[in-house]
Order: sequence, then C-alpha cells, then structure tokens
Amino acid sequence: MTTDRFTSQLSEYLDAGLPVDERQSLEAHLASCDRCRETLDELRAVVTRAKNLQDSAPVNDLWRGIHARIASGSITGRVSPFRRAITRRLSFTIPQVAAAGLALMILSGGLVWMARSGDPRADVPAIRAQEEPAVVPANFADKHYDAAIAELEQTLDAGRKSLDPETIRVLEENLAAIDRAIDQCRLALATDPANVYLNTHLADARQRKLLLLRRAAALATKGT
Amino acid sequence: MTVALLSTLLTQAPAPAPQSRPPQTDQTVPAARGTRLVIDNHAGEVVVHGWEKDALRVQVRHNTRVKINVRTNAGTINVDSDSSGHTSSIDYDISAPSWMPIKIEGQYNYVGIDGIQGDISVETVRGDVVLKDVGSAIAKTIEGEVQVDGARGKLTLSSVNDNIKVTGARGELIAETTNGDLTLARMESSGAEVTTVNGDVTYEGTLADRGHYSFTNHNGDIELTVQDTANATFNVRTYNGEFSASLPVKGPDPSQVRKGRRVAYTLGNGSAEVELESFGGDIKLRRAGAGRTRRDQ
Amino acid sequence: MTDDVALAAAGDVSAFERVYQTHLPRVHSLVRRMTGGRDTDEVTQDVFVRVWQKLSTFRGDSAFSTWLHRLAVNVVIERFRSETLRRQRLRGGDDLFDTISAPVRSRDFAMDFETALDRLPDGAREVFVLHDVEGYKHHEIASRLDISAGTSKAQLHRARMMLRKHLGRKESDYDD
Repeated sequence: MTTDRFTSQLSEYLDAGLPVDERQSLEAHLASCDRCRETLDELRAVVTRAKNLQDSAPVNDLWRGIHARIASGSITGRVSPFRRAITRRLSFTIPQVAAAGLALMILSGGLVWMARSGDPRADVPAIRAQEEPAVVPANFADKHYDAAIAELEQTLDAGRKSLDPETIRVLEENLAAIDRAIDQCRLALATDPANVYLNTHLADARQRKLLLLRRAAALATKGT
Repeated sequence: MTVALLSTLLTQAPAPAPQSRPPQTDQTVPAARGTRLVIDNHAGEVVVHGWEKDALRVQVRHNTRVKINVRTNAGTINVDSDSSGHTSSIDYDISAPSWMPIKIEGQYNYVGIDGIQGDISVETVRGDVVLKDVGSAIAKTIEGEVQVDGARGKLTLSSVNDNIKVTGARGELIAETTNGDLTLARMESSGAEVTTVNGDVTYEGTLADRGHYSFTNHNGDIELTVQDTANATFNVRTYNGEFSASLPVKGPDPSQVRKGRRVAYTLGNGSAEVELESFGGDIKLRRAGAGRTRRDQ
Repeated sequence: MTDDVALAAAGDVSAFERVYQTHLPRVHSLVRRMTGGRDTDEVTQDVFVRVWQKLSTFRGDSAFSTWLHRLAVNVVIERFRSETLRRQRLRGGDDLFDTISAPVRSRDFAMDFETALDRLPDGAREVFVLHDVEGYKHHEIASRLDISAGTSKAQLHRARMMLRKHLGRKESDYDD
C-alpha cells in the first residue's frame, strides 16, 4: 500500500471511522512514516482550529430588513435583489403600483402610464415569449417629480458654500450629463411616443437624476 | 494620489510608516472576535491591511495639533480625531484582523483595504477606493475610481464621475456610475446589475446558471465576453446602436435589434438571464477564446 | 424555552428582536462559512424570517440554539439546491481541485484560516463546515446534501488537507 493510500485514510482514522483491520494497518505504517505522522498532526490541528472558530456579527444592520418582512405579514419566498430592481423599474410605469406609496416611486412614478392592450411586439419574432404592455405616451409635465427636483435643487443651492467648488462642479457636470440623456430620450420619443424602451429608459434617467440630486443635497446639508 | 500608487501601497508587507514621515501615533489595542471597526476621517488616506492577530494596530501621520482617538465601546472600535478646529490631512495605516467588519467614512479620503474578509463599508466624496482580496463590500465615492481585485462576497459599488473596475469577483455585483466606464474581468459573479450613463460596459467571465444580469448605459458600448459553453438568454435592446455576436447564439437576424426592440438570443439551455440595453451604443457578445489569454494579463 | 423565545413564538416582535441579537453572530458566521461569503447578509435574513415563521413549531425538546442552527443549515442548503451547478460539483471527483486557483496573496503573511476556509471549493467547504465546525455526522451530511457518505468523507479529507497549510503563524512570530 502506498503512502498516498495511507494519507487518504488519515481523516477517517482521526474520526475513529476506519474498520479494525485498516486501522491496524495504518497504525503500523504511522510507526515508521514521519511524513504521515506529520500530516496526521496537521489534520488534528485543523480539526481543533475548526472547533475553536469565533463567531462575528455583520457590519450591516440586518434587523431592518427582517423586521420589514415579518411585520408586513406577507412573507413569501426570497426575491432576488435583481428581480426587485427590475420590478421596481416596471413599477414606475404601472399606475396601480406607483400609487402605493414609496416617496421615490410617487415622485418619479408619474412619468409613464402603461396599460395592457394586445401584443405590441407582434412584428418582432422572439425565441421566448416576452409580454410587454402597450404604452401610452409619457407625461413629461409630472408635477410631483418636478416639485421634488426643484426642492432638491434649492437645497443644494442653499448648501453650496459648505461644499468645495470642485465637488460642486463635478455634481453639476454629472447632473447635466443626465439631463442630456433625458433630452435625447424625449427627442426620440417625439417621433416614437409608444416605444416601450424609450419610455422605460426615460423613467430610469429621471430616477437617476433624482437620486443624484438627493445625494448632493444630503452632502450639502451635512456640511452646514 | 493615483489608483496605481495606492495599489502599490497595498502590495507591500505590513510595515511601519515611511521613514521620511514617521507616525505621530502608533497604538495597538486588542480586538475580540466580533468587534467592528469604524473610522471617521475628514481628509487624508486610510489604508487597512488584514492580518491574523486579534488586535488592531493604528499608525497615523498627522499634524501635531491633532489628537487621534482609538476607543472601544460595546463591540466597536471607533477611530477618529480631535483637531481643535484645524482641518488637516490625516493618514491612517491600520493593521486589522482579517475577520473584522470595517466601516470608513469621510469627505476626502483615498481608501485602500487589503485582505479583510469581514463586511466592508466605505463612503467618501472625493477619493479612490481600492479593495483587494475582500469579502463583501459597499464602496461609494463621487469623484474617484472604485477598484476591486478579488472579492468573494456581495459588492455594491458606486461612483459618479469616474470608472469602476472589478476583477475576480465571485458574489453578486451592483455597480453604477454616471460618467465612467465599468470594466469587469475574470468575473464569476452569481448575478450583476451594472449601469452607467456615459461610458462603456465590459464584462468578461462566467454566467452562473439561473443567474440574473443586467448591463445598461445611455452612451457607450456594451461588450460581454463569455465561453460559448455558457447557458444564457440574452435580451438585447439598443435604440441607436447595433448588435453583433461571435457567440453561437440562436435568435433573429441582428438587424432586428433596432429602435429599442427587445430581442432574445439563446446560448446553450438559456439558463442565465442577461439584459443588455443601450440607448446610443453598440452591444456585442464575444466568445471567450481570446478571453483565456486576457486572464493571464 | 427562554422567556423571549416563548414571547416571540406568541408573536412578540420585540422579543424576537432580542432572540435575533442573541443568536446573530453564530448564525451569521455559520452562513458565511457555508456560503463562502456569498450573500451572507441576505441568507442570514432569510434564516431569521424562517425562524419567525417556524417558531410556533419549536417544542422545547432540544436547546433552542440547536433547533435554530439546524433550521439555519436547512435554509442554506435549500439555497444550494436551487443552484444545480453546486450539486454537480459536490459529486465530482478530483477535478474539483482544478477549479481552485492557488490563493495569491500580495502580502507576506500566511492566509488567515477563515479566509482559507472561504476559498475552499464549495463542496469541500460545505462538508467541512457541517462536520468539523458544526458537528454533523457523515450520514446526516449525506442526507442533507443529497450525496453519499463516501463523498462526504472524501470532501472532508480534501478540505482538511487544503486547510492545514493555513493554520497560521504562531503568536510569537508577531512579537516586536
């Protein structure tokens, strides 16, 4: 029997799991094999170390998420965060869900109103069936969204002095980049108002602007 | 300081502060398993190296009028400073247990963390965040690059005006920036949500069966490089760009991908779901033959 | 059964929060070790939500921590079951080791044991955590992971052989 064969038995030996004859054979080998004895000692040390591992709590607060799930009384299976994200984007465009209540959704959810009516993609052959509701044109003049943007811009302006000029410049530059993306979407929608992708993309861009403004306003407020 | 220089700093063995500027503070405190570390630094550099000791060593270079506080309270070690109204740069070089969860906050910080498997949370306004050999991490900056090399857990990365680069990540990934590229290489993510407004998005790696992936931008190309043995359904949309694939996907003619129409292409049994959307950029699916060579780079 | 467990079983959320705080480090560490650090927070939350759902079924015939722990293992394994690739890898042979890249450390020190544990191949890590850390027997592991006892033993041995290189430096190596 080769040393490798004996080595492969060491864990079972350590756990008192070998049959008598194999145990005796291994013990006879160990008496004359330094390498195997050393390996056995190392494996024993691993087992000891495993038994003495210390536990640690997470750095993030997990209770909030748990509380939200158990307090809602509607515990379903875990939803992938990516599913949630995708659902959230579609939720901006479904008035029933948009009316439910997250402030962000209310603010930016009045953008696009969609209603199911037939298959808008009948002209595109698809390998998998993909349902997408038909779309009526986006309502650009969304009072709630515009009001939220205006308020955040005001907060940012008021806290301008607490931010260094370079940070302000970077924030304004990026807000402008998002505005350009929004304008390009609107331009495209002017000629293709029922386009599902454009409507969803516009909603995403406006949400992105809102989030960046909120982050900027929070920074400005923190510094005052 | 550039990302490259910060990366170099992280590859050095644990060492005292450079001779040219020895630390004004050098303090070591015990850290029982489960203790968290919270560092609050307004401006400067925070470099953390993981080590095996159950102890925290805090070496700091700072103005003599600044006092560094290292306080242990209810399972948390708080590291911050009293500067009596003076604002100056404070540079931390910390050796922490690799199991330790760490939180770092500040305005103008370059942050580098290496060899920490505890959960990490970093937030800065201006400054790069460079993570190496970590577990799960949240990293946010506004003006600065986020770079991760080797991560086993979930990554949530955010920049505004710069690039995000990730190599060798295995967990779920959420990454977003506004003006910057998203470059993901040697990835084994179980899922990803990656988005930018102006910038290219490149992903090279594997796609987990039943994983969910989303790659979106407004302007810039999106390029995915995977093995042709992967199993994925690619849902492709571009408004003004073009679609091309060198992977053996099944689906309609690429010319059908136009004006934002959502078109599905299947590879293998189509297990992973991959959304690829660009307003103005091209979308490319590449076979990973050349990708193998890139892994060695 | 402790007062808080009894109260939580009756629907007292505040009591459940106390139960959560008490058992969080152990559960979080178990989840982290079994998953190799992937989605640890999320799976930990799943565990406690499941505990809340099942609390009324706890009879008090074993220690609550034992019951909670078994439930946590079940939640993690259910997650594994939904990932077909993992099952295939568990049943695999030596090719499992081919998927491991040698731990590359840019620092001049031995990798921490827990880090090395995280980096084990999935199958080897799961069996090692269940057997050597949590104390399950091979037949229990085989039943829960849907593998043979022989595979469980082989995976355990492989895990131990890999981990022995990462037992870490002695304390005296760090003395200044």
